[in-house]
Amino acid sequence: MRNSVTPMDSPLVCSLRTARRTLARMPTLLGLGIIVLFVVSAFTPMANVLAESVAVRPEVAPADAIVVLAAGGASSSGALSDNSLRRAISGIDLYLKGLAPLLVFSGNDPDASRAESRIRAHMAQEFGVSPQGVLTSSGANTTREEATRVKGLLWPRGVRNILLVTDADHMIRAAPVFTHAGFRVFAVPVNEPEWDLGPGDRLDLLRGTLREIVALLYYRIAGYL
Amino acid sequence: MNTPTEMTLLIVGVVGATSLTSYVVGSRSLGLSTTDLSAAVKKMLDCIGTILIFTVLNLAIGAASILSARFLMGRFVSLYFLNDETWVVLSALQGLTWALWRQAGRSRPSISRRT
Repeated sequence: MRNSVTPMDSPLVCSLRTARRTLARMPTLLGLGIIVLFVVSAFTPMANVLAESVAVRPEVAPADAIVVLAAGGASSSGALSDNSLRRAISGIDLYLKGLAPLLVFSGNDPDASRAESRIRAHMAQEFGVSPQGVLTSSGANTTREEATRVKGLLWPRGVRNILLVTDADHMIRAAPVFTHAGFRVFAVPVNEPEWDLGPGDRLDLLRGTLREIVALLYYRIAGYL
Repeated sequence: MNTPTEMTLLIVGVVGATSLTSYVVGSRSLGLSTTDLSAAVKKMLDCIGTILIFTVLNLAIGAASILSARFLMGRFVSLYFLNDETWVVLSALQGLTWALWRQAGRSRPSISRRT
């Protein structure tokens, strides 16, 4: 009886009760919404369509330098993360194809044993890249800081055109950040998503894409772009 | 070669079969009321929605704390800390507990405060 509307109730009481009922029903509606979103994301190519709509198109062309962005650092035993290794190999491949005379490895490098940029540079030399062709940039915590540090390293050398190597989802933010820093960017996304994915991979793709869209939005609001 | 389509079919097939079996076992062997099923689904949706609310709340507070640490204390803390499954698991525990608590309160016979 407490929730029923009687002729004696004022319009304010009625609207308060309606608002309370709507609020009480909100979790159920949200639950329905999230389950529909889950089913659509896992069992349809929606994640691919979203990723495709915001993706930066690959553009492999001769440039002044290849810039390989950091990815999760290295373990204390000096092992690179999967992403870091994938990006490094892609950068080395571009260098060995003669697309640029300089190969720059960025890394956070908290200490000597976990120096991602130096481990990658050493690996590049093992693959046959000349020591003079490899540069390292360390100490950046964010993509914006990477752009600033790489600019400080390459700008004095007259480098303006770069082949930017990073994961496909990260490229959504990285390419505009480096363009904003003043570089002409040729995007080389690694790990581009396949169309034919299983449900778990689709959910991962959606999560990665949404994370980068939110991060890009944050960069725009913060005035970094 | 195993394809993602085969994986999808396997998941949908197995989950569909166990759902159907549990419905038959529940309604025929255990004598559960089929009308209670819609109430159970509603309660499940309520739990999922509450989990979502706790997840968003925790992540928003986490992001605000990280940005505060960056801008007020000048200490760098990575926003990638929010990209961890633990947030969702713990939010699920919070949301589930909260939703079940609310549901328990609703199902108890109410004592009118009006005399």
